[in-house]
Amino acid sequence: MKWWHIARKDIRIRLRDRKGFLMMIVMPLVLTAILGAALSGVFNQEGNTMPEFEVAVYRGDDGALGKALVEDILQSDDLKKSITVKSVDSELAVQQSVQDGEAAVGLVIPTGFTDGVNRGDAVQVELIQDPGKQLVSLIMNSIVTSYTNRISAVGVASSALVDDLKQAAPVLAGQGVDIGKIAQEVLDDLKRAASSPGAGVVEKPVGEKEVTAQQYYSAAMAVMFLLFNATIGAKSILNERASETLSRMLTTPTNKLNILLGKFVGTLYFSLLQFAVLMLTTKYAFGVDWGDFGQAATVAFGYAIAVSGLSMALAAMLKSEQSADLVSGIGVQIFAALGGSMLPLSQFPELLQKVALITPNAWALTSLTGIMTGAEWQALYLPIGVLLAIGAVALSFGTWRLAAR
Amino acid sequence: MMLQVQELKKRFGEREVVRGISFAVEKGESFGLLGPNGAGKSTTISMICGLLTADSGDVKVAGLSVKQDPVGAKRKIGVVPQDIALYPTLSARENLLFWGRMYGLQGANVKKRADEVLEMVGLSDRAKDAIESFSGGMKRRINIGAALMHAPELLIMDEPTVGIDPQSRNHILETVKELNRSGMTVIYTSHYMEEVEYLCERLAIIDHGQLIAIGSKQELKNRLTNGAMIKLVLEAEVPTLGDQLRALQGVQQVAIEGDEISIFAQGARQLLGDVVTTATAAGAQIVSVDVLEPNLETVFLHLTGRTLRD
Repeated sequence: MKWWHIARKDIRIRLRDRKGFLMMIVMPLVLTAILGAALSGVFNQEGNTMPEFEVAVYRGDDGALGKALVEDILQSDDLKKSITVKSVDSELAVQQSVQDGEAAVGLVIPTGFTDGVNRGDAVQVELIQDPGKQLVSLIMNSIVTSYTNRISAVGVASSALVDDLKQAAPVLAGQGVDIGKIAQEVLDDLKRAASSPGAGVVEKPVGEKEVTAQQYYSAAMAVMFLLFNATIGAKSILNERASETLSRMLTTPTNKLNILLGKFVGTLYFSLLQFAVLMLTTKYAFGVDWGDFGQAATVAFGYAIAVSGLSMALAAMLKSEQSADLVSGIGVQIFAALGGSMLPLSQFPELLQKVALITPNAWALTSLTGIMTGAEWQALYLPIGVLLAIGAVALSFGTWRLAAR
Repeated sequence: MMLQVQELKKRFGEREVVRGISFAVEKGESFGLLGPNGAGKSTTISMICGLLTADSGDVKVAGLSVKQDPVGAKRKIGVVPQDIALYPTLSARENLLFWGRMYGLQGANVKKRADEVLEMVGLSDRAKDAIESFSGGMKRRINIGAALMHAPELLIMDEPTVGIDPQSRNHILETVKELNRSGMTVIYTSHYMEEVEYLCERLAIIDHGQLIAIGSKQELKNRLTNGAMIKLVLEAEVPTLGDQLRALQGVQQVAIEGDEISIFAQGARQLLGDVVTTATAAGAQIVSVDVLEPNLETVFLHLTGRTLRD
């Protein structure tokens, strides 16, 4: 049980380190609070998918497509909770509204919009933006672009259909088929599709629920700050060597494996303790729902094993505490950014999302956010397996190298 | 026999640091191990403690081979390292408890022993204070205390009084003396000859990886019975003077350290005139001349050509 005494001593030392406490407990909580509040608009949140804002609209077009954009899209059941349409009678009035701050963004549907689209012309809907309200402009731009793209696609499809029908007309007419009626029915269906507010690609979470910014950053910060244990654990071993306590331990009847196991368990224990504190504090102070406790605890255990294993591997590779500080300062930040602790992984390009899988924190974070959405156990087997494998490989390598010294 | 060191050898790369050292220490003895820096003394101690593996030879502690039964041998030894190997943010008592547990003590025993050791090193009143708040001398006392937790049969102390105040130094010396009186075997290394002279009955001197002298204090002093040492302090170095002094009849050895020249000679008092004349003729400005009777310092200088603090 000497390994346990070594681990307990390490935990005691770390709990007395005030700077370490601020860094490992207070800092992630503060960052969770700040990032969770600041980036809440970026996330799909239950009951509030978008910020509420007013849009000034000048409809210079009396046609069906201009009307559909305002009445069927902007005032659809989903969007009318967030978007209030204020109709004005000129393009100038739209600009004035945005300039005066009465509307967050303005929309000008030009005269002849419907006819232009039907002819296949490139007719632009104009967006008047307030530079200080970029998020709202981005949302409106996305809605309008999505709509115009769809009606363009329908326009192209309609032309192709009409051409095909023209060619098939002599044959079909001989068989008693009413070509005009079929064409009209298909075109009506396409128009409905074009003006459907629900059309387009919808991002869905793994489970049934969606993750809020507060939830995401609670997990992201916990994962990021747990990662520091890899360098802190390594530093603890390097410090024991530099301060001769390791040599002293080796003069006692304690073998190397006991010492290394003690150092590993010390880091593991502290990582789990840190995760528990962060989880419980965010749960009760910020009301964060972490999902199934058993699942979250299992992922945290797998991740703590990976981090503690890495601490042993780092101690075996690094020569001094200064180099451990360097890894802590640069390496952990890079891993944290790559693993999605700064920005959600879903915002990354596809290639970076794949590269992120080399980091244990990416596996832990996707698992924890998955649990928050109500993921099944089956979805967690792979990430937990990967985390345990990282821990086992790193621990074996570190123990082998350190024991040989 | 408490300790038997048999033909120990250790090489680091091309450099042979320890070249076949052998000596023995009886149970209850207080034994001094001396040598200039780089002589192989620390390597020898590391091999005795089981920190380093010898290339050849063996160490037996109370009959247990460090090679064949390292755990058994280590249980008999308490090591006080030269550096303060303690955890600064833990209290004195917590440090002692931890090191006691590393030696295999458990439960109420380790707690009782920690209190006894705190009493022994005179720091019971500071038991709950963190080591980082202690003075250098107090840290040294706990550093010793940690090695005493399991009441070892053999206590190895590697320069335990480096950089401390005279009061703490005296306390440490008295503690060691008392431990030795109570039957504990002590191996002591120090750069302070007066400490070794005060504590140890027998000494071994190591230089260039070899044991060059071993015996009781008196036996070593007797090596210079027929001689003494003339110590010349000059205003400035005179490069050729060493060779000229060596050429004088009766001079056994000349050791030069900067502007200080030590001349070992039979009939040193009779030779004094010749030494002064030779030095003056060589252009030396003499600041002082002393004739010193044999002591451990002069014996060490005679044997190694260097002072202990070199």
